[in-house]
Amino acid sequence: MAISDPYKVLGVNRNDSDETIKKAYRELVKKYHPDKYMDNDLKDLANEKLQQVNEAYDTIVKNRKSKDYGYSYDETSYKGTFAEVRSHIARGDFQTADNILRNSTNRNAEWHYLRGVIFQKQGWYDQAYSYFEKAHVMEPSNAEYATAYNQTRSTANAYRGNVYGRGYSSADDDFCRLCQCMLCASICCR
Amino acid sequence: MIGYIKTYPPELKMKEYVKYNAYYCGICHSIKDRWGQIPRLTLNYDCVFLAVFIDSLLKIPMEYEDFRCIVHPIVKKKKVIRSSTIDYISDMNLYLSYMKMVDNVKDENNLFHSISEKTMRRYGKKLKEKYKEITDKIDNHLKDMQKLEDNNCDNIDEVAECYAEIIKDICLYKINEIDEETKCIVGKIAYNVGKWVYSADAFDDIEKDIKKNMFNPYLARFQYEKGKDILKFKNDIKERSSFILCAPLKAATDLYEDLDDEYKDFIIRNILYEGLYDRTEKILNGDK
Repeated sequence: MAISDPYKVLGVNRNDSDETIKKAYRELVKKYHPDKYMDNDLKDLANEKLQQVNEAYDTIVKNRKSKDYGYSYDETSYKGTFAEVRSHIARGDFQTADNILRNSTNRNAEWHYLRGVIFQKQGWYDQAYSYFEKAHVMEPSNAEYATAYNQTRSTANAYRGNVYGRGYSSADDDFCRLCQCMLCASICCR
Repeated sequence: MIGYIKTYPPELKMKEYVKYNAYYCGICHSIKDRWGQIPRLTLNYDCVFLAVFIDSLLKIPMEYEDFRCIVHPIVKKKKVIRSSTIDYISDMNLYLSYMKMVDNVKDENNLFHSISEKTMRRYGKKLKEKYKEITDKIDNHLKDMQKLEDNNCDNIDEVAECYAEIIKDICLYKINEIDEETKCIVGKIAYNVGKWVYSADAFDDIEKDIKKNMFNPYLARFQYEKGKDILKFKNDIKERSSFILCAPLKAATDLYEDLDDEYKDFIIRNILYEGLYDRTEKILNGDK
């Protein structure tokens, strides 16, 4: 079955990060998982949906890989060195990308943004935050920098979301406190 | 290892709770049987996390044994036996504890620190012989960390990375036979957890380090001025610190989802999601 727009199938935007898309994909897979519809009339329909979702996800991943991934929009603004840096980043060669940036004298918003991307990949999150922020302040109208900055800023909440999504309830609520009491009691009595 | 990595017990199933404790007891006994009583004091929960994590990747079948513990003499408890991971992790923990004592003597040469260091010295020497490759790596990371501390480094990512690399190397050393892709993910998870541990410990130590006038990455990073109110300082940096602590955890949980299902373990999941989150909130709010 041909897919009209893979982004629509997954219910995401064209500009969404790889991460968001992966998440949406995972959720849909869970939703249509055949185990859920074992003895159900909807089994065939779910199967068909699942296949569509899989195909859509594969298409997006393939497209993004071939298009220097993630950076497919706003291509007009790329100039010489930075385009090169982006292609190194896309290939996963952060060392080379970083070396080029360190030697570059043109320290504009894009320079800050790209260093932020490299820091992020390296796991240097605090640095990445500062560099994304600087890029965003220097060029507030740029959607790419704004997205990176806002995503970084909401990291703590995103992690909290991951946790609460799994049913963690704060120790402030009474039921939980009761559980903790009982658990402590059980440890003491052992 | 410092002892920050813990589960969130209210969300654990009983069988997992038993397994987790059995690992704890297994490590404790492994130290006792091979090194004697004194090094047992170095035991902490970070080792349990690493041992369970590594065993879940190696898929080693569990073998329990009943025993009586001197701390809880009445009830029989279970411990995990015959896991080479347990011996390995307790050795690594012992080595890190010894190195911490060496560091303490350098920072503050009082009687307590120098006696502990001297008692542990022979264990340190033996471990260096037994695990030359990995202890050399650890030593190098610690040297890098020392250099950054001496220069009052204001880049918290860089300082924390030294500790992160240690945890990563310890994990990877034991899982050689696993496929490259999984190894890569595991290395990154270990790195991020290590980064969190260092950052959390440093945040917890802010008051102590101000009073003792010692290096703390948060003081350098946020330019603490001497004499300024500590609580106000902590409050001012709380939001960014929350980011610094949550970012590696966000990365670790996302990476964990990338692992193949066969390698996933409920205890590890519980730690990465609820355990470390719970701890982070407590540290940020100042209750221990």
